[in-house]
Amino acid sequence: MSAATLGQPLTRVDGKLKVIGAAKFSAEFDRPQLAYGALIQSTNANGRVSKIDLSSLKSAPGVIMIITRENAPQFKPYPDQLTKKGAPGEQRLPLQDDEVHWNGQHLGIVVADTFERAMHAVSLARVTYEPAKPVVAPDELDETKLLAPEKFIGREELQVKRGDIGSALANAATKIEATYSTPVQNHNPIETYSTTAEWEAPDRLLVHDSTRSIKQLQKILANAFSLPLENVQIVSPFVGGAFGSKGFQWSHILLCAAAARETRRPVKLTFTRPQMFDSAGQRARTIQRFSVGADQSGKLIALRHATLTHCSPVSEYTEPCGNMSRMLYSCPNIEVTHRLAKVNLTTPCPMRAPGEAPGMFALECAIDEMANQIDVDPLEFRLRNYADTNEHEKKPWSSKQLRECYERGAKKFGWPKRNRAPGTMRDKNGNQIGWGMATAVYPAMQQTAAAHATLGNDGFVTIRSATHEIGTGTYTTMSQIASRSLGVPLEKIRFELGDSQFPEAPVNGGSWLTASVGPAVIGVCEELKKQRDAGSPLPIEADFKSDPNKEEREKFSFQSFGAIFVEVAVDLMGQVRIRRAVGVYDIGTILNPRLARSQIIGGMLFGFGMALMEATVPDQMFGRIVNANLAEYHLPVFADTPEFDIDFIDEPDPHMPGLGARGIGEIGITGAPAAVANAIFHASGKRVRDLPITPDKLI
Amino acid sequence: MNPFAYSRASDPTQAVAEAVKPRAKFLGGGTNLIDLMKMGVETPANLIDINKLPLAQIEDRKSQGVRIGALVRNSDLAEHELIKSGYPVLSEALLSGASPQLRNMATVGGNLLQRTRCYYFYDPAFPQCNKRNPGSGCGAIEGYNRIHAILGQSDQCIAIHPSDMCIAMAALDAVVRVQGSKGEREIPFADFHRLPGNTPNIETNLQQDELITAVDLPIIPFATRSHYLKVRDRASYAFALVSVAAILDLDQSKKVKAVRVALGGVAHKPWRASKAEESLVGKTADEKTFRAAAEAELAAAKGYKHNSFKIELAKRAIVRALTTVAAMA
Amino acid sequence: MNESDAPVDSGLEEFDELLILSNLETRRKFIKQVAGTSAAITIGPALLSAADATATSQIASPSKSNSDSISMTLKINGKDYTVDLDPRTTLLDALRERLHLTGSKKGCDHGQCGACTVLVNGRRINSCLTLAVMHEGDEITTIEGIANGDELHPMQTAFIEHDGFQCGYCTPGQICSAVALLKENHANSDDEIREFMSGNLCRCGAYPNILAAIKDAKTKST
Ligand SMILES: Cc1cc2nc3c(=O)[nH]c(=O)nc-3n(C[C@H](O)[C@H](O)[C@H](O)COP(=O)(O)OP(=O)(O)OC[C@H]3O[C@@H](n4cnc5c(N)ncnc54)[C@H](O)[C@@H]3O)c2cc1C
Ligand code: SF4
Ligand code: FES
Ligand code: FES
Repeated sequence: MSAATLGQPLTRVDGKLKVIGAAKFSAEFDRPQLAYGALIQSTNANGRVSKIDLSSLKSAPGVIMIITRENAPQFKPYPDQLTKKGAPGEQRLPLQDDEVHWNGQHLGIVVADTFERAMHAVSLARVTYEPAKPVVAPDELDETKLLAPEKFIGREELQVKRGDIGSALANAATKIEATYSTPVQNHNPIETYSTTAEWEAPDRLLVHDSTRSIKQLQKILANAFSLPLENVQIVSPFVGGAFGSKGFQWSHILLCAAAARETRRPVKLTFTRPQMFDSAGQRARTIQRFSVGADQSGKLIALRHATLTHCSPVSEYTEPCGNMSRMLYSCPNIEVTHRLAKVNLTTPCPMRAPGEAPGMFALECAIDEMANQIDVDPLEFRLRNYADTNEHEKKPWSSKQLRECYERGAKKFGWPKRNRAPGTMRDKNGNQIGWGMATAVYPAMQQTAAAHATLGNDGFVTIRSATHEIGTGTYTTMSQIASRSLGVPLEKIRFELGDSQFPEAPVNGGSWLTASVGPAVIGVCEELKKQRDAGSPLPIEADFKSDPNKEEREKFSFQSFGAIFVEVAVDLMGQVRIRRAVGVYDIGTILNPRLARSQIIGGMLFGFGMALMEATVPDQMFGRIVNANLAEYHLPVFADTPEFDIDFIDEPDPHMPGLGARGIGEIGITGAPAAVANAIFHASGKRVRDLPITPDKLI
Repeated sequence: MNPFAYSRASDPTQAVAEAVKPRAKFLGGGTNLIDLMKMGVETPANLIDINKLPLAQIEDRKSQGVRIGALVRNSDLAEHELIKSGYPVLSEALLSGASPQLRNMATVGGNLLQRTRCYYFYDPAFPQCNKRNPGSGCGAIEGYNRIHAILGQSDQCIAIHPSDMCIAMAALDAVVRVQGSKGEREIPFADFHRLPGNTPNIETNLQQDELITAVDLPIIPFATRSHYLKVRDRASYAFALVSVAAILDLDQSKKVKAVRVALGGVAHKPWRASKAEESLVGKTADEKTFRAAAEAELAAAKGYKHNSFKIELAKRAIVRALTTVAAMA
Repeated sequence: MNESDAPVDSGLEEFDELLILSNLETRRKFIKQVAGTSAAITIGPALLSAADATATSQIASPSKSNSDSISMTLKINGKDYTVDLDPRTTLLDALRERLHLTGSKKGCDHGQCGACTVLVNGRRINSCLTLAVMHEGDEITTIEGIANGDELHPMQTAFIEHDGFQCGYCTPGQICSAVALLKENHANSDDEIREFMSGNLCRCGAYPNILAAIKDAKTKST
């Protein structure tokens, strides 16, 4: 078989392993003498622990060890780099004080010889508190208690002003004021977090963890236990979905490693589903106030986007809702602000398209409302306000084919046939039918990455990089890239990942994997080729490190774009069903159309879930999540799936390194919730500004 | 999960004898009981596995209707010819519940006794729940009560019965057959489940040592004209916000000869909408009549902070369900 | 999509080697082999000196007490396994934790996701909500037993060809469920498939591809 080419719809190289049940996820590595951990958690949201009564727990059968504040080891503080202002993940070390900041906070770990015994034993812990009244919603706090964070993880500015918003709004011919809100949401990959920690020697730690940031986790653990970096090995060949979770520092991993050290046995700690809601990240609730103004000709002249969101008492991570409002449309007067409330809910972190997902819901609904107010087609309104440059960064786009996305999508969908007036379409069962659209956008980022390659005597090429397979197809795309670079058939390429002892690769996130690891793989293949072509005797090895191209990054603004169109049906009982969805995306070169389509559809469905059903609900009195399970936190099921028609512009971004590919993991969700909300308005005439749009809001 | 002693019963009498042991529970499909044991809500000391009892038959009793063994799985009941042809509303209700896998496990007896999905009941970390811990208060009344009851509730408990199957059975006037240490008896469906009153912890009139052996369905010739409508937050695999089982018999002039309506998602027990039924009989089957019937039934409804929408939702669902049945040939 | 939609064979057989990736010892061979490069560390035998461990509240001895366990024989994928199990052990935990048949997944442990779907006497059930002890004498089929030896089941092939997964975590449950679905004769229309596959959540959102895979497998198996 010949070498792979780019753009081939290859099936996944790890597909067979996945369909026969042989792909090993982190909870599935059997270690000798394995013991089971279970977490003691707070059932209060604020105050202090006064006592943990372990008497009945201690005598429970099978219990090997209990670690609480009383006997907790001292962990070294997290490295500075991870605890910078606004950093995601936990800033507070577990079990070093008696304070309680949210319901579900970890108060200890129990280790027993079997899973059943560990689960039973942990239920016997009796904790008493000096409780304080919790704050569970950001709008409970008065303005003076709010923070005004400067930057999102040290990157994008969160408080932005351009022009004179006040007078522009005063002079606007058309104006809307509206408040949109999105609930707390949880990532809920189907695989929960799992850690198996094992001390192979007093100074050597091996961890199987469901992480998408092995290098970072290696640093965290080496730091916490004062070990040389290379004495900590993290292994993670397959991750069962992440969507923003499974990165960053969370206390359970330290507790598991500590328990393994104390018991001198490998300890496995796997999250229950409820723990996915209170133990390691979530998307915070957002309340977003918009003031938008346009002139006589329907050109935007003013846009104010004020976000209120929250973090836990021990973090300052901010959901950056306003980033896209700064530059998605051409508009001379802009004000974007973010306020942050510290509330007694678990520490938030990025979730698929952090900021963009809720922010674009609000922005793209506001744009739809403006178009309706002016009485112009919402697509036409977007074209009138098309941004030819990034007006916030004052830079040209590296490339932008959004116009083409709009046009192709509209044609595929049949958009020109749309009657603008809401409530005019019905199906044969009397359901209201509506069509809505929205823009999709997501930054195209890049990080440093490295790879090591060996060409063996047998002609097989092995490439290694400490990257991850979370379902995005890393094994496949990287093999494909290597095959093409080397002109070696795909069957002779073996791409390996998921081991911290492999060369540096970034956290899997921000849709930057391909744009970061891809160039490293191309680079290492080029090096290998040079040696091969020079006739070096086999085996030969090469190393390569790729850095983001700073010059290009300074000159251009890098964004992926897309347009999404949906049809919904709304019945008499307020039930919404999405019937069909069309999406056209400009994400640079498509490396593998089969996998790209899957990613986009997955992102859209994620967005549909956000639009119609997903909400994590804390009880107001106890700050405890009432629906921390998959029966009451609704993810879209099979029957919620519409017909999809997905297309790509598929033109390389001339300023992206290597392949001209931008990212793909997150753009699918952006725009999807707004397209649905806009379609519901078109169907029913009802504008719901608070997600999710459940039957109670339409009745 | 609490430790327990496991035993497997081979005949009903033996099962009943075992049930007098302290904190004994029958284990059917396990889909509710094991779930609640994992949550620490149910803590039986003795589990009596009844899956091997010979109670998995569906019997055609001709003029006396159909007898459904307590161990018939929900999927088998839904797919059975006698049910699909004679009691389609029951088949529809069953198929709208849970998932194919759960329906393959869930038994008729277990479905009758499945417990509420009230968040405060399900999670013992919430301190208040009169059902789980009598006298502790109700977490839902002042808490998050979007899924709670609007009819028949008390100031002790506002939970709902989450079953779909039971709503259809309520409309079909089913009879529950039980066997206890004092012998066998029959319990009309309306008397099987209870309203919460001051004892929300007592949910049915079944005794501790009583085993459900079967459910009888009487012959209802017009039950072929029926519909089960379920309103939920997603298209499948979700509990009902509100559901309606409707059976309608019309005369030549489209007047209502007989009607059965039961509501789910609104009360602590499957709610037979007798006020609506009364208001319908003899009237012309049209939307106005249906709406009036719905208004009559829901006149006594009371909502809370998050569930008041159910009042209008239930009305619309009644109208839609009846309209659908009326339009059937 | 401009490219032909026909799948290109990615040489699956060869990638059986990927199995190796799951094996720590083999990974370590690599690490030794590249010793000397910056990425390398040396791995010695797993020594743990007891003196160094700072155990603070070591309680009972960890030895397994079998007094509360039941001996049972489970027939899985045609093979008998005799095990002593705590009666609380669910079928899923027996498979994953005791028999190391980790193909069946745990996603929720409460019947809410379908990742644990296995076939019992040919019917699909959630193995997390049933006790292992309830299944003595039953024929249990897990994802590991779906293929016919080395020959993939048509449903497995179709999942690969139609990209019916991303992370792959829900996949064993989806495939077991889909195999049962065909047997139940509930795959007669797209909507029927969607409804009768709704007991298997996929957070990656592979549903449309799974739909295509099921339809394909259906035509191939009839
Ligand atoms: C995720 C999820 C979603 C669900 N969705 C729905 C839904 O949409 N609609 C719906 O209606 N239901 C739904 N269910 C509930 C499901 O229908 C019930 O769990 C099931 O019907 C219970 O039956 P079982 O045989 O498994 O009962 P078990 O769990 O075995 O038993 C339940 C109770 O009944 C007792 N019991 C069982 N059999 C007998 C008997 N013969 N005599 C006396 N006592 C007995 C047991 O002791 C126990 O107290 C859902 C469940 C889950 C987990
Ligand atoms: S509604 Fe009933 S079940 Fe729910 S908390 Fe109140 S008493 Fe408990
Ligand atoms: S693990 Fe069994 S249904 Fe989720
Ligand atoms: S493939 Fe990831 S959950 Fe389905």
